[in-house]
Amino acid sequence: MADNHVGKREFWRGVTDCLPVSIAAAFFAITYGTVAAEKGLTFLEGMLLTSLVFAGASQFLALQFWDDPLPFVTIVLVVLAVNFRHILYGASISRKLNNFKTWQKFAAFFFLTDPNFALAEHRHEKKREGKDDPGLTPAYYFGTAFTLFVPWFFASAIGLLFGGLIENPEAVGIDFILPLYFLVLLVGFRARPNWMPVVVSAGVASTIAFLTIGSPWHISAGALVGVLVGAIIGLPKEELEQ
Amino acid sequence: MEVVLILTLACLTYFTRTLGHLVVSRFGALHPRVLAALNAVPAAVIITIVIPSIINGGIAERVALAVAVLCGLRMSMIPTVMIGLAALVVLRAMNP
Repeated sequence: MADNHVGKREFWRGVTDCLPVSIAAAFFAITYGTVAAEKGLTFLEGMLLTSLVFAGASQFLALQFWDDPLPFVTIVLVVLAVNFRHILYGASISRKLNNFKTWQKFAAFFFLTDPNFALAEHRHEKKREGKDDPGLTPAYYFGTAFTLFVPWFFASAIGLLFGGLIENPEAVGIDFILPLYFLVLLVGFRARPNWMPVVVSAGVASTIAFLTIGSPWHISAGALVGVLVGAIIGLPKEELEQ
Repeated sequence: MEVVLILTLACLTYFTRTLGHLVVSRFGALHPRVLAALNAVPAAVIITIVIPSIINGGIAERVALAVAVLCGLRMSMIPTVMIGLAALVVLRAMNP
């Protein structure tokens, strides 16, 4: 009974912790749906992508390159590349899942978005402060996961249903939302180690490749150079103690 | 084809979300160089996505991106994207 009580409390704590992020994310989900409709995705395709992938940056990337004929390999490769950060999230969170059963772990990984990762890490950090504190529990984790997923799902649907109705998308800047989004996402990562040398080297290499060989090679060329620079510099010590 | 792509992306995303745990629970930790390389991937890729918009964009597009960067240093994502978008719409209306 006591466990059940703690579980309920932790679930609602997860819900309230995630709510501000969730409201913000819902706006992006509406944007996602709107752009997806403009790009010609059907309602079903748009909803499948938003509910099965459930990763804002990856979904926007897929839309950025969505075309007729579909550039299958390009989309798979860029989404894979931007998903690489999830490997780091999984490696970091892995040791903090002692309260999780195996199936709960594998369910949890489906919902491992940037905000859910951040909230889970934060909840784990908070553990030491109270004695009766269970730390990161499945109840808390899935509280945050549902709070992000449910509004994301319905807001995507709203965008998909009404996005196609906008008559002149360029006048309201819809064609340029993706570049703006990616640039702001990039600025948001600036606290990460080696951010500046990686961005500058990848940017220069990508520019050269774009002006010489052309698209889509500027992506692989820039990414390769940036990743090499990041690997050569290496991570500071405190980052390695996951 | 569209649905096949979406299912592929879904599997891929779930795979990368699970892989870190699988590697750590099997091998203990990731090699520092691998960690450093993985850490660099998202920023390195995202900048390459933006580069064509900077090169091909007109004045309105470039100013909007610059405004978004400056706002992004201080503000959260939603207001930043909104302000960048507003700047773009106003500038485009001024120079049709």
